[in-house]
Parts: sequence; C-alpha cells; structure tokens
Amino acid sequence: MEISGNSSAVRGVVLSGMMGAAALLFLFSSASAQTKPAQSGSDRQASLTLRLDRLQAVRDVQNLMSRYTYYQSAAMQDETIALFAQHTPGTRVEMLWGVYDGLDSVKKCYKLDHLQHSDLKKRAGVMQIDTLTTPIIQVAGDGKTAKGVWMSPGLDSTVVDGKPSAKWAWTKYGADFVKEDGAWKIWHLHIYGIFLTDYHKSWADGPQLKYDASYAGLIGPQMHNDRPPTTSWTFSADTVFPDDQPSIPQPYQTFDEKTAY
Amino acid sequence: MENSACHERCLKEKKDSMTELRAVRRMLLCGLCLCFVAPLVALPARAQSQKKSREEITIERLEAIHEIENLMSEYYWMHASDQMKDYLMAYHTPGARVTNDLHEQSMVQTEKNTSAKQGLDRDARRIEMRSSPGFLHVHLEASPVIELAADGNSARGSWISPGLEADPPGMKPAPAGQRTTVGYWAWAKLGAEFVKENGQWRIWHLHVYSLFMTPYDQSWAEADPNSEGGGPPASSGPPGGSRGQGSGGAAGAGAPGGSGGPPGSGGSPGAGGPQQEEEAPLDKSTLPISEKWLYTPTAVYPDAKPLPPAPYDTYQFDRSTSY
Repeated sequence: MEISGNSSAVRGVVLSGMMGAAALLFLFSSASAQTKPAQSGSDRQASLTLRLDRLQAVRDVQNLMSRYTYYQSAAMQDETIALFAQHTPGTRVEMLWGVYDGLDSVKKCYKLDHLQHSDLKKRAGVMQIDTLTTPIIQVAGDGKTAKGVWMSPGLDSTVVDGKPSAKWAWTKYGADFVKEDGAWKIWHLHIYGIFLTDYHKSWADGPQLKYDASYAGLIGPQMHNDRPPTTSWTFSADTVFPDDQPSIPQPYQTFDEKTAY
Repeated sequence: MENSACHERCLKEKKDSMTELRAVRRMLLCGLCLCFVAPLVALPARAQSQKKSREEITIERLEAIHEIENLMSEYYWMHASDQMKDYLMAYHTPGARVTNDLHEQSMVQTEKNTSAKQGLDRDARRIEMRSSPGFLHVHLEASPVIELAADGNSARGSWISPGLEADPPGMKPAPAGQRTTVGYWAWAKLGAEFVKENGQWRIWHLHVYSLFMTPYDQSWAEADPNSEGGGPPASSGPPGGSRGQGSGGAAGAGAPGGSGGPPGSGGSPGAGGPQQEEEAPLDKSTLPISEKWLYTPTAVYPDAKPLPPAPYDTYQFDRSTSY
C-alpha cells in the first residue's frame, strides 16, 4: 500500500508536470504567434484602417497642393482660402515677401495681396504657373498631420507699363497639413525661392531679382504680412544652395512644432 | 497459512506496484505526446495570425510604392543641395550600380567600395566643396511609373526629369570671351530599380538617360551632340556635376544622378578623367546597355531608353530592359 500510495503521488506529480509543460508550450507557441503583430482581431483591423487612412492621406495631400497651385494660377482666391485649416490654431502662410500668421492674416494675404479673380483688367496678360514635382510626403504615424515638400519649376508673366514681362520663377514648397472634420487642410505653407530671372537671362548671371522682402515691391505698394520672411535665399554665383530650406520630412509619429514649415 | 497469505499479499503488492509503474509510464508517454502536440495545435493558430489578408498585402504594396517615390525624390533633393546620398543606395545588395548614358558607363558599387574610410573621405571632400558658391543642380522628377514585383522583393520605376544646372566659376572652363558661370538646361529620363535592405527600400540600380544639355540661351535643336549636350567642348568639359566627386568617367556636364559618378566611385574632386580606383574591369554582360543619346534635328527619339516598367513577378536581369 505504501508503494501504491507513493506511485499515486508520483503519477499525480508527473501528470501535473506534463500538463503544465504542455500548457506552457501551448501558451508560448500562441504568444509567439501573436508577437508579430501582437494584436487582437479588432486591434489588427484598427491598424489596417489607420494604414489605409495614411495612404489615402498621401493622395489627398497631393491633390490639395495641386489644387492650390491650380487655383493660384487662375487667381481663385476664395477657393484657395478654403484649402487652409479653418479652426486649427496656428494656420500660417509664408510668402516670399513675408509671413501671415493666423487665418485672418491668411485671408488678407490672398484677398488683399494677390490678384483677384474678378479683376479682369488687372489679370489681362498675367500668367503665373507653379508646378509641383519631386514630392516627398510623410503622414504622421498617428494619422492626424502630414508634411510635404515639392520642387516647383514655374513661370511668371505680367504686363508692366504696357510691356509684357516673362520670367522663370522656380521655387520650393514646404507644407504641414492637418485633418479638420475628416478633410485634409493646409496648416502651414512656406514658399522658398530658387531663382527668378527674365526668361532670356541665365539664372547663373547676376544680379538676379531677389526672392526676399523686396519681392513685395514687384507685386504691390503695400502688403499686409505680419512679419518679414524667415528665409530669403535666391540663387546667384556667390550663394551656396541651402540644404534646409525646406528640411526634408522624415517619418514621424506626432507633429512637432519645431519641424513646422 | 500465514506464509501463504504473506506470499499472496506480496504478490498482490508487487502486481499493484507494476500496475502503478505501467500507469506512470503511460502518463509519461501521454505527457510527452502532449508536449509535442501542443505546439502543433498552436502552429495553425500562429500561421493563421501571420497569414496576410488580401487587404494587408494591398496596403503593404501601396506603402512600398509611396516609399519608393519618396526615396527617389529624396535622392534628387539631396542632389540639389549636394548632400551625401549613400544612405539611399542599396550598397549591401550585390550589383548595385549607377549608369550614366552621357558617359556610356556603369559604376558598379559594392560594400567594399563604401568602406567607412572612403565614405568619410568623400563626406569631408563634399563638405569642403559645398562652400563653393554658384553651384546649382536642380533636377525634377515628373511622370512617374512605378511597378512593384508580384513577389514584393523588388520594384522598378521610370521618370522624366526636366532640370537645370549652373557651375561655379572655374569649375567649367569657358571658351574665350564667354562668362565663366553658365546656366544650362539639363533634361533627362531616369530608370531605377529598388530592393529592400533591412526593411528599407533602397536604390539598387539608377540609370540616367540623357535628353539634352544646352546653355540657357541656346536651343536644344542647335546643341552640338559631340560636346556633352551643347556645352563647352568636351576636351575642356567640366568634371562630374556633383561637387567633390569626380565623374569616374568621361568629362561631362553632369546630368542628374549620374553626374559626379555614383557615390563611392572614388573620383577626386574636380578630376574629370577616369578615376575608377580599386575597381576590376566590368563584365558588360552583367550591365544594362548604355548608349549616349542627345537630341539633334536628325536623331530619332528612342522608345526604349528606358521603357516604362511593366507589371512583373520576379526581378530578372535583362541587358536591354534593365536599368
């Protein structure tokens, strides 16, 4: 009986041990299966939805900026203003001649300091086209903001004192975007100069027309920007191409004001 | 009787003991079986959780295409400000190369050619040369066609690239009577192939197909095709377009990407001549066809330089279609 009793105990211990080991192995296998991705079904679906939204954002942001340049070439200022964030604090645009802080100033920028769509007399002979190429777009990991840069070969045609004037106007664009009510909007827009030159003059010849505060003088006598531009680089034979105007957006999780354009 | 009863009891105990031992043995066997079976039961669950849905695969492929477009754009943003681009290249994948049709030459890059020392040397040279004002190489990327292999392991893309350049005085010797800093139109087409290294898409092959290079005030129809696209005579041609890196090939005004040769070509700054130090002769059968083409009024526009990529399953090198 003693032997029999011991055997029962041994049997119990062995059985428990084996069951425990099996359970541990099962759990380990299942856990390792979940390691990548370590998600439940609903988490996984949420992750897929976020990834889809971020991909959609890339397309939306590109369309948004292309609309901006399209509207600008036709002086469609009301449509342009509607592309900007309407109730997110800090909406801003930096033109080559200065910075406009806040939505009200942004409205002044386009309604007071740009040609108006209805002003056909002033618009006669004007053709200003910016194109957007070489895009780099990064959507935040949290899907709430996005950043993008573009190189923009463009041209600028006006009539000055009755004489037509045609210029090459190459710039760069940097922009931050934010989602408002389910739609992507321009939050910060910053235009950086490359060169502005009469069409028949080389960009390598100096002196060039400057992309700085003085550029405003080419547009109108009194501008309504809140402050001077923060960048004012224009190519000439004695300048070095800047490597941080704008900085190239890198993948990021949440928006950092320090990286704002 | 007592002896008999004792004998029977002993026999019974022995029998019970044997029965218990057999039971323990059975338990052991069962336990062992459970240990082996448990992971097998878990494996299908694991496989199920790792199996990607159609939606996941589609998302992954679209993300790859977006990363590749960003990657190529970053290459030319870096090129414009003449920053190091090495980190964008697939140096750890055999056969990485840059080909420039202006030079009719491919530069095969290997890990060996991008040793830390050489990388630092190049970086130092570039930083030094970046202080040279008057350098402008802006090449744009337009009309993208990007195809990801069905197996997801590689991708191919083509772009049309309008662009312009200017070089600092003295970098581009000018004929007598001409200014020393000249602005050039520099248009090209680009073909590129991509692979993933450590989870990141990288440029594996980059091929620059020249279209025309001409001074800003000279028509591309008037350019001299024998002078690197209408610029100064080839004999006095400029070094590779990128400051701080020799072309590694013939003198040239430096079309986008290929200008200055590929990162790691080992060219010395300002040296226009061949600089392929530490490189063995290349086996042309492993390289794409590279033939200089520049527009002239009698030239027929090439339809396959490059062909936009078509959908494909797995990357296979082909001299006539690979970039």
